[in-house]
Parts: sequence; structure tokens; C-alpha cells
Amino acid sequence: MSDSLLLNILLLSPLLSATLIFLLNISIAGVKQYIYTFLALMGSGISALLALYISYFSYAENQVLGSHLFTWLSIENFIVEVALKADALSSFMILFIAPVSFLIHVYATGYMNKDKSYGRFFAYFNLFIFFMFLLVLADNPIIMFIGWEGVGLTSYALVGFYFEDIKNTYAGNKAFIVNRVGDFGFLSALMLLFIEVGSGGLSFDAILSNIGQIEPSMLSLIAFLLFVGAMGKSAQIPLFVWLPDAMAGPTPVSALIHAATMVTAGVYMVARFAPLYNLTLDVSLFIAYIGAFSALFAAIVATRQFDIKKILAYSTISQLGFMFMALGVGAYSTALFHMFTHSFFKALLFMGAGAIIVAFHHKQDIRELRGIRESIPALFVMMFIATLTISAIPPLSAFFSKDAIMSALYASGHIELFIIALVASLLTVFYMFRLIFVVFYSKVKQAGASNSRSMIYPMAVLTILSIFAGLLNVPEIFGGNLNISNWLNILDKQFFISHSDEIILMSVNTLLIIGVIFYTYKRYAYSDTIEKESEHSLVANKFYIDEIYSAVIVKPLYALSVIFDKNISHHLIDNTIHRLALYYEKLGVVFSYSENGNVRYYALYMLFGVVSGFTYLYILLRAAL
Amino acid sequence: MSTLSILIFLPIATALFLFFIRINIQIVKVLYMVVTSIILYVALKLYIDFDPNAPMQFVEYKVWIREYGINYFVGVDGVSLGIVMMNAILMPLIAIALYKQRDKHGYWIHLLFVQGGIMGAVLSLDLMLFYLFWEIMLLPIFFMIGLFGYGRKNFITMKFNMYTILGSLVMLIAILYIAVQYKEQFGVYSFSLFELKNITLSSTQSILVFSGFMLAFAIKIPIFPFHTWLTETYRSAPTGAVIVMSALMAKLGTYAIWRFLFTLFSDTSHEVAPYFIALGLFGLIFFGISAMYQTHLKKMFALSSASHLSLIVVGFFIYDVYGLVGSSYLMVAHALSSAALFLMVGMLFERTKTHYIDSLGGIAKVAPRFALFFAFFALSIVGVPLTAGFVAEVLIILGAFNYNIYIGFITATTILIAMLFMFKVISKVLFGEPNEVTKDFQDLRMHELFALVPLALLVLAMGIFPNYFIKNIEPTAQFYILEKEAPKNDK
Repeated sequence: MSDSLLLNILLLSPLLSATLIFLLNISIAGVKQYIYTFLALMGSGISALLALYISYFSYAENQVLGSHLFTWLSIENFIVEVALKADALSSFMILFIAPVSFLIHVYATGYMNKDKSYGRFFAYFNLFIFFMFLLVLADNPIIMFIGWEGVGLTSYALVGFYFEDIKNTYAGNKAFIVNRVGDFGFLSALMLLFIEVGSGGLSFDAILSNIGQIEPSMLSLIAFLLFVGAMGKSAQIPLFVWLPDAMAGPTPVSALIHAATMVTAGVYMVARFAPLYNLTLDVSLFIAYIGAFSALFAAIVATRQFDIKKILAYSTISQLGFMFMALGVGAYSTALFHMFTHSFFKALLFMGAGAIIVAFHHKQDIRELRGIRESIPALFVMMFIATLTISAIPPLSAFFSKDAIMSALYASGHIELFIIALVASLLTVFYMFRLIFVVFYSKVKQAGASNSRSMIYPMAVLTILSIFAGLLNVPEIFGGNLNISNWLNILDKQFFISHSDEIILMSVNTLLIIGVIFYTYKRYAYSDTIEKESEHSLVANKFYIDEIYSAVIVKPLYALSVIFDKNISHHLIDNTIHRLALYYEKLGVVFSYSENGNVRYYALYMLFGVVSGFTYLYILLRAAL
Repeated sequence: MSTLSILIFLPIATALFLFFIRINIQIVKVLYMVVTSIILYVALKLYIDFDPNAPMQFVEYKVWIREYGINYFVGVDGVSLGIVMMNAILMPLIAIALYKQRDKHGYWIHLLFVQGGIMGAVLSLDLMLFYLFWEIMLLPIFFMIGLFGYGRKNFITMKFNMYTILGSLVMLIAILYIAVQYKEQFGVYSFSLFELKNITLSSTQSILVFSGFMLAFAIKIPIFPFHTWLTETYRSAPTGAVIVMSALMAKLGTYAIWRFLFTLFSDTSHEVAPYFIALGLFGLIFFGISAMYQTHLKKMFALSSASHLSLIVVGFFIYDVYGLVGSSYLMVAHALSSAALFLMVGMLFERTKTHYIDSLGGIAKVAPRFALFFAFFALSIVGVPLTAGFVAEVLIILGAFNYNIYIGFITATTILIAMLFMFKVISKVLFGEPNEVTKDFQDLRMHELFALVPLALLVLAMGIFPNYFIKNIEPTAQFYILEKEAPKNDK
């Protein structure tokens, strides 16, 4: 099989299955559920297998696959090819996107079982992975942008999936609108890039090899605008507001889109433009700070949330913040590796949450979900492992990835970033174990329904991956050789940190984490502390950010809308026009006095006419004489 | 008779014939379908035979009024082709979708008449001929609103008509003025576009004449502040008329800017471009924000159209190849989407007897196909990827950044503007639980699907394979760019 064919099949098989499901769903009522299941799993399964194959070859033989489909646009210099390229970075992305997508598809067949919109769900779901592949495999930023907007669009459709409750669709609207604010930045950056260096071609290679020609201030602007796009998609301050609301979607959606894949697109994009960010250190530092604040802010908010999915959503924002910190200081492959492990354990956590929600009658409040350990032991074990992983306990996968971020931050010399990261990571431990201890360790007991196997098995696979995925990138201090980092071969900034420092960092960190776990256990396990926590505090209300945005942006826009339409269009302009017409009419009234049908008046006008005619003639004659 | 004349006169002749003969309404509808199908066939043949690299094609030239140099002079190039195709495609689809709703002779006769009028206006290369068709296409709309409209239809159609005629008359004066100038400079009268562009005017003269033309176009498009007829007219107009106005006639205004102003007053257009870019950008944002608080669907979509048309004006006045191609593409893309949306609003009204978004809701639950198409076309107005609007907007934004970085940023807000109201509409109309009004909402019937599916496929095709369509427009745009730069090189 030729290389390009592989890539094309990888990309198009989810699209094909989405189209088939869609057509079946729209044209025939009452299609059997297993047909949808078959199509959906085929679509994502084929691409998952191909993705593993492709990334293996990229990893082992360093080969770059490419494929050219057709020319999208060609006007003067603006030549956009629909071309795919699986270099190391793209192969790395599909290495976790495709299998995780497939696992969540399997999980979703259980979660959505007997749902009346089963077909519609999988049509959107497969369409989503198509756009996600387009995003990471595109060879030029315009096609990447199409994938980028496409995932936002499918996310919109899936967040508002249960549209009978209009609130869900508002959450979807919010997700799309906030994302598009980011896309505004992204698109502007692409246009500027094209104008600066587009004549040399629009593929990533061409652009990145030409960026040296751009003057520094413009380059910084472009870097900043690109990051605005990343802020939207990866839910960083100030564009994070959509992600917690997006939890309104079905839980597999949260696991796939809002934890494992789509939200990491921002990280991917910054890593893709690494050569550009290496030239714009001011913007990079800005990214690091945004990441730090997002990590800390979201971690703080998560400590006072009660909705199990909201906790995980804020956790996602916080973890993405870690990745951006690493990107900001130039540790690109470290950030990417954390994204890699994060996709496993966060997907697992969401799937666990979804399984709990299904088993316990769609309750999501952790105060109502207490004491459920005995009825779902397998879920408990997997959730517990995932929580240990996100806490970065050695030797679970996130230990390697998060520790690498910590060392990089420490070594980069930005101690303030390091301290923020440390605090945020300890808060992570706190809010995650708060969730675990409240839900699973309680005096009260309750029993729930059992979960289907199609939900449990994918979770088991992800549990194993969460435990062992870290081994792929073992740092040299443990005798590893950073396989992934070497494979990715991105222009990382090199940090030097002595082994003794690194060991001290790790041990202190681990000890602190264990300390926090014990504190959390004391505070929440078998106690009713959680009941006493207020729902109305500043933190529980997310620092009133939504309310502030509404008062500062949404309400003024509506007020402006009224002013524009009522005051300016209607009162000012239209009334002026009507008044002009009125004056015209009034003028008619004035003239109508003279046309009154009275013969004497007409005789008078004739007299005037005759007199003035003679006067005129007289003047003419005088002049002639 | 040759191709373009068939396009222009077959509908008009049929309309006149039907006007004088009173026959069964069913026969009228059948004749309407036959004639618009013939037009569609002829237009498709025209599209296939069209040579992208040739300038003006299928030219027909017949002497009409010799002593004043008024001739029957028509031709088609890359810009007009788009509108001709839209005109040919939309007209039969309107009938397929609406034939059950409308049983008045006049409705269909007027639509036929307006099709011919639009074809004439878009193909004319003689200013007098253009003026004639420009006025002809107004009349059927005037009668349609007055006879078949809603609300205060008589007042509104009168206002619309007066307003538009005011613009046209000023344009007529401008046309006569330059014809007289031509006579003074060259000794004969001429109304031919390509001869008139040779005259030399002082800058004051050319700005005055330019304004005369521009007033007519600005009212038709409409550009801020000539837009106040718009919302009420769209609100009152019956579905067929609204589609014709938003999808075709408004586009004619922008088309005429390119065809006549850029050809006749190349330098002046270039000089005043910054003002019109500013006005267009202001309109883009102003109309978009105005639409936010509307509760009447047709008024909202009217403002949405106005917002996009302002963007088209911006793209034209940016005057580089991306702006020109992008705007021409947006004319077609927006024609498809807005025609489909207004068609669906018509279906919505037929079923629910309401246009207010607050009284609707829950349609997706009872009528999934309707919801799907409505959401699709609404999103295509927003310009999501894989729809035609996205391609056009990217090109216009690119042109704007090329022109000036600040203009670029303001133009790029277009990807935010339509969202402000469109998502609210989708939520309120389609989602939530069905209420009293919508609980018996009937899903799309077969004939309505027949009308909407081709439009949806076309929108998708134009979004996924834009290069295939754009290669018909690009050479024409390049030709105008060269024309613009030529005088500069002489200096």
C-alpha cells in the first residue's frame, strides 16, 4: 500500500462512516442500533490501527508520510493545497488521539445504549475525529484552521446534544462563540503570516523556514495572535469560560473532546510553531504566565466545586495550564509528553465519572454520590489509579511528565513560575482526592446499577496506559533515554539541572503530595466536611467570572443593539426620511391653495403671465435697441 | 436567438403572455416551471461553454436607437456569471418549494418577469439598457409586496419604491450627463460601457457622477445610512419576493459597483475607496449588532443580509484580487444561503403562522429534517468551514490584511458578527421543548426537500472545492486589477 493511501484512509474512514450513519439516520427511521455501532467502530477502529502503524514507522524509521489530495484554492500566491503530512509531531499526535478516540467510541456504545439519538451521536462523534485528524495532519495552517474550526463545530453540536433542555444548547453556543473569539486571533495571524512570507509557499516547512525574514515586532504580533487561538481552544484565561459549561454534553463527549483531544489542539499548535516561538521570547514568557495563572486559578476553583464533571473540567484547564507553562519556557516536548499522558488519565477519569453517573441515576453532585465504593469496586480501583496518576505519584505516567515540567520550570530560572506550578499541583492532589474521598469513603452506603462491559473494558485499557505510558519517556536520571523527546526532535530549549537537584526536587515534591493526600483523607473521608462547604463563596462561584463577562461584554452588546436599531436606524435616520417626505407633502398643500378651482384666480394668473411676458419682451427690445 | 437573449427575454415574454391571457393557475405554474427549467438548462450550458480566460463573452450587439447611440449590447464575464447562475438556479427551486402555497396568477407572473429583469440588468453593457432593466426588475417586486405581502404592505411597498426610484433617477441623470460629455468630446452620443470609459472628466465632475451612480447602488444594497427601508420591506414581502430581493437584487447593487463604477471611474473609485471601506466596515458591525435584539425572524435575517452585503462592498473597494474574488464568491455563497433561509422562514410561517423567535422552539424534536437544514444554512451564513461562505470570508479578510493591517482586523470581526445572533436563533427556534405553536410542526415534505437539497449540496461543494468555481472568476478579477494599475504605470 502506498504511503499516501494510508494517510488518506486514516483521514477519510471516520468521515465515510459519519456520512453513512448520517444518511441512514436521516433517511430511514428505526435502523437497528448494531448497524450504527458497527459503522462507528469501523470508522474509528480503522484509523486507530493505521495511526499505530504510521506512528510506529515514524518512530522506528523516521519516515515522513505525505499525501496530496487536491488544490483547495489557488489565486495568485495564495495557493492552498489539501495536503497531509505525518512527520514526527503529527505521528505523535495521532498515536494517542486515534486509539483514545477508538476506546471512547467503544465506551460510548455502552454509555449511549438505547438512546433514541444513538445514530446522530455517532455521526457527530466520527465527524469529530475526522476534523481532529485534519487538524493534526494538515500540512499547511489554512487546512489546519479548517480542522480547528471543524472540531469546534462538532463540539458545539455535541455539547448541545440533548437539545430538549435549551440550557445545553446555550452551553454549546457559548463554547462555539468563545472559541471563535480565539479563532479570530488565529485567522488574523495566518493572514499576516501569508502576507509576510506567503510567496514562499504555505506549507508549515516553507513558512517556518522563512520566518527569519519577518521583522521582530510583526513576528511577536503573529505569535501572540496564534496564541489567542490556542487560548480559546485550550481554555486558558481569559477564554476558558466555555469549558466548564461544555460539561452539559454527554460524558463520552467530555472525555473525548474536552479532555483528551480537542482541548490539546492549542498545545499542538504552539508546538507546531515552535521555531516561531523560539524567536519571540516575550510572547513565550507571556504564554508561560497565562498557563501559570490558568493552572492556579482553575485548581483553586476546582477545590470548591460539587459537580463531579465540573471538577474534572477545571482540572483539565489546570493541567493544560501546566502544558502551556512548559511551552512558554521552551520545553516543547515536555509539554507534549504531558499532553500524551494527560489524555489517558483524564479520559479515564471522565469515563469513570460517566460510568458513575449512569450507574447512579444521573446524579452528578458528589454530595449525593457518597458511599458507592462497594457497589462498583472495579470503577473505584480505576478511578483511584487515575487519581494517583494525576497527582504524579511515582512511577505512574504523569509522574514522569509532570516532573519533567517541574524540572524545566525550575531550570529555566523562572522561580515564580515554578512556585505557582508547585502550588497548583498540590491543589490538584487536594481537589482530586477530595473527590475520591467524598465519593468512595463514606459512612452512608448506596447501591447502583452495574455498568456494561463495553464501558468497563476501554477503561481498563486506559488504566494500563495511565500506569505505564510514562515509560516511553523516562528521563536519563532513571536510566531512560527520553525516547519520545528524541523522536519529536523539536527545537527544545536545553536546560541543565544537576542530578542531585533533580532528585531533591522529585523527593520533596512526592513527599508534599503524600502529605496533601493524608490531609485530604483526614478532612473528607468518613466525615461530613463536604456538607459544610458553602456553595456561595467567592471560589465556589468561580470568582464571578461569568457574571463579570456578562456585565462587561454581553449586556453592553445588547444595549448597543437597541441603540443601533431603535435610536439610530429608526428614530434618527428613518424619521428624518419620513419627515422629508412629509415636507414634500406639505409643499403640495401649499401649492394646492393656488389650485382652488376659482375661475377668478386663474384669470389673475393669466394676467400675471401676460404682464411678465410683456415685461420680458420689453426688456429684450430695449436691449436690442 | 442567441443564449443571452433567451435568458433575458424568454421569462419576460412568457410573463407578458400570461399576463394577457387568463388561464388556469395550474397551467401558469407548469409554464413557470417549464420556462425556468429552460432558463436553467441554457444557463448551465452557458456555464459549461464559458471560457474563464476570455474577457467579455457571448456578446450580442444590435443597433437600437442609432442617433443617440443606444444599443442592445449584452455580454457575460466572470462576475456576472455568478449572478446569472444564481438567478437561473433559484427561480425553479422557489417554485418547487412554494407551489402549494401560492395560488395567485400574479405571484408567478411577477416572479418570471423579475427573473428576466435581473438577467437583463446583469448582462447589459449599455448604460441605457441597464437603466431600463434596473427599473423593470423593481416593478414586479412593488406589486408582489403590495398584493401578496403582510402587515402595512401598501405603505411599505410605496416607501420602498419611492426610495429606490429616487436612487435610480439620480443615476439616470448621471448616465445622461456622461453621455452628453461623451458627445462633447467625441462628437457622437454613446451609452456603451466600453466607449464611455474613454471620456475624461475633471475630478469634481467624476466625483459627482460617481455619487449619482453610487446613490442608486447604495440604496439597493443597502449601505448605511440608506438601509431604513430594508427591515420593514423584508418583513412585509412574501417569500418569493424576499428571496429575489436578498439573494439577487441586493447583489446586483454590489455587482453594479464593480461593473460600472470600476470600469467608468477607475481612478475616482480608487480615490474614494477608503471612505467606502470605512462605511462598509461600519455597516458590517452596525447591522450585525442591530440584528442581535430583533425578535422577528425576517427582520433579523434582513439585517444579517445587510451586514454581509456591507462586507461584499468592503471586499470590492479593497480592490485587490483577493478582495474582488472573495466578494464575488460571497455574492454567490450568500445568495444560496440566504435564499434557502428565507425559503425555510416561509415554510416556518406557513406551518406556525408566526415569525417571532420567542414563540417558536422545540422544532428539532418534532421535525429533525427541517432542523437539520435550518441549522445548516444558518451556520453557512456564519461561515463555518466546508461552506462556501468560509472561503469567501477568508479571501476578503486576506485582501483586507493585504490592504492595511487595521482594516484587516476590523474585517476579520466578520467571523464573530453573524454568530452574535445566529446561534441564539438556532437555539430559540429549533431547540428546547416543543410548545403549543410547534408541537404539530410538520417535517419537510418531499417537494421542499427537492428545493433545499440542491442548495445545500451547492453550498458544500463551493466550500470544499472552491478552486473549481473560483477559476471562473479569477481571470476577470485579474483583468480589472491590471486595468487599475495600467494608468499608474503610464505616469
